[in-house]
Amino acid sequence: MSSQPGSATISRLTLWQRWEHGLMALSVSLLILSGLALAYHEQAWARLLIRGMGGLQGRHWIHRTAAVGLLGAGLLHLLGLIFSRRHRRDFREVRPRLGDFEDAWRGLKFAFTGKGEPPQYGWFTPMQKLQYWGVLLGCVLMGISGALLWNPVLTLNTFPKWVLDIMLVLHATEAQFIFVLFILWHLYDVHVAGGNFPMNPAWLTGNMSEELFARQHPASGKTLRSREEA
Amino acid sequence: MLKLNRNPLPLIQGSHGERSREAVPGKARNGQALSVALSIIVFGAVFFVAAPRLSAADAGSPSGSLDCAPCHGGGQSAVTPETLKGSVHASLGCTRCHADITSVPHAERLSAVDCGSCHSAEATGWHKSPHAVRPGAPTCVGCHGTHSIHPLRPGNNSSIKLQIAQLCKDCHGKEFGSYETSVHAKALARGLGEAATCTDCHGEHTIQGPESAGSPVAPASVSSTCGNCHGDKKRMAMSGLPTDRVSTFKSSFHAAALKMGNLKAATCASCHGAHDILASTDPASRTNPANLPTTCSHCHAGVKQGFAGVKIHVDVSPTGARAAWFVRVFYIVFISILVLGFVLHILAERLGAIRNRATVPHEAPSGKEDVQ
Repeated sequence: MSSQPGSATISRLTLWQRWEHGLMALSVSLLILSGLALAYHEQAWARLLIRGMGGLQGRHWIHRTAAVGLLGAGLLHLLGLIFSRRHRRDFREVRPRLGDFEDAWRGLKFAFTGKGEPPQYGWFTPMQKLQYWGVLLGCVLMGISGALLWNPVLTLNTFPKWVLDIMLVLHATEAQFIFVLFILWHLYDVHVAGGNFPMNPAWLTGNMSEELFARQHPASGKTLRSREEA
Repeated sequence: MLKLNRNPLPLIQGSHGERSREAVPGKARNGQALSVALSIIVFGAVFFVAAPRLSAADAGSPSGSLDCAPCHGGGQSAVTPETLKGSVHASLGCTRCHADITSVPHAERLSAVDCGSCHSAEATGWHKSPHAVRPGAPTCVGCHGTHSIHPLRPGNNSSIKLQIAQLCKDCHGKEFGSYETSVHAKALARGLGEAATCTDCHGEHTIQGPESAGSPVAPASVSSTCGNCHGDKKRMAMSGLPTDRVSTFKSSFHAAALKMGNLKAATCASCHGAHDILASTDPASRTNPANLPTTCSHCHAGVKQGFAGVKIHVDVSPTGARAAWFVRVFYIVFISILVLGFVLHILAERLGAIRNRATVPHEAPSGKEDVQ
């Protein structure tokens, strides 16, 4: 697709953002693998995973190292926002607007009934915005609960036990939420949906084809021009 | 303290001397092979002398066809109907157990009675136990007695259960000492036959300590052993105890670590003790809130007094840890909606792709972009 010779491309992600995404993807994958293995330790597949990680102690360190990795990705994100004007522009684009709900509704209506106009998505689709804010909220929730579970003795010395009980449930259930939304759903979107098959190359090259971009983000022409002018 | 009647039921009648005449389950011990051989020679000789008096060994009545009474009717070696009264073996003939007696008078030394010839499962179990390999450890008669052998099905009979503990005390005095004041022994003394005695946790014939793998009190299996009673609604209702202690333990990190082979992880006994289990309301209990910091400190350094009063065995349910339960329910609903949304999203996306192709077919001139 975008690799077709002569086809124009659109820059979607900076090198910084691609490293940020790569570090996050690696950390989250490791976190989910090592985390679900513990949550489902009664299952044979989970025990196989734990053995593969070098037993409970190995699993323990993989999970914590990956947690630090995710924290690092968060830090990269923050630094990018501070130092790059382009990152700040992206952040302004990803802010939710009331129009997003309208767009999403129009998209669903068009898909199922064929009535009305196909949705006119901008630089980010409503789904992409939802995923961004979901990731952010997920990281905050997992970060807080994970930090409290990191040293249970310190937590129990400081807080009542029900705090730890809630954090334990929160950490395990939010993990499964993340697994469905950010792994299954996101992978579907970037590898299958909207003509992305076999994948949208932006996470590696930073670019996607202009033709595909115009199809997925038809209303972004204006913002694109303003981006180029800026 | 308990006042245990030493022998309210004649589980063991007779002196230590009688008990020391061992009955070995299964095969006779090697050391006794010589005496068996000697016995055969003696019996051979007797057979020729007393052949007219002998018929086949009979198992019909205590005396059988051999007349045991002239020698054993009284005195030091008496085995009378009085001795056998109430014995489960009262109807068996002497030679049913003393199978090596084929004539009288018999050899001075008889070979050991082979209880395993009838009670093979029990004998096999005993052979697997540490008792089988330790010299001086009890054999069948050590616990069951000899002629006056009584049915030993404790069921929920508290007095039999207490006697079992008394039997073990002979060798395991230290363990009995701590058991004696435990909730289990106290409950038995109150007549609550549901409470545990030694064999309830360690097993009966295959009695084992925590160090033997596969033992009911080994770290990997002890929680299931405790669960036999502490997960049983009927039994726990008798003492007003909760039934979720083992299930809540099994969902804990301690249980996960145990299951993955970390035998240092806490089991029931690590916190509650083993023989000396006390109610958490008892100030001397390891699980009394005031003592929890000390108990947890065995593994977790730095536990402060603030730890006290925490509920360890929490059940994430509307009646247990309600806030955590609410969080879980919230997520279950949320994740279900999310999965539905995902399905809807895929459907919409596929339908949308089809419609897009129908409305703007010329957009993909090469047809290559229209990948399904």
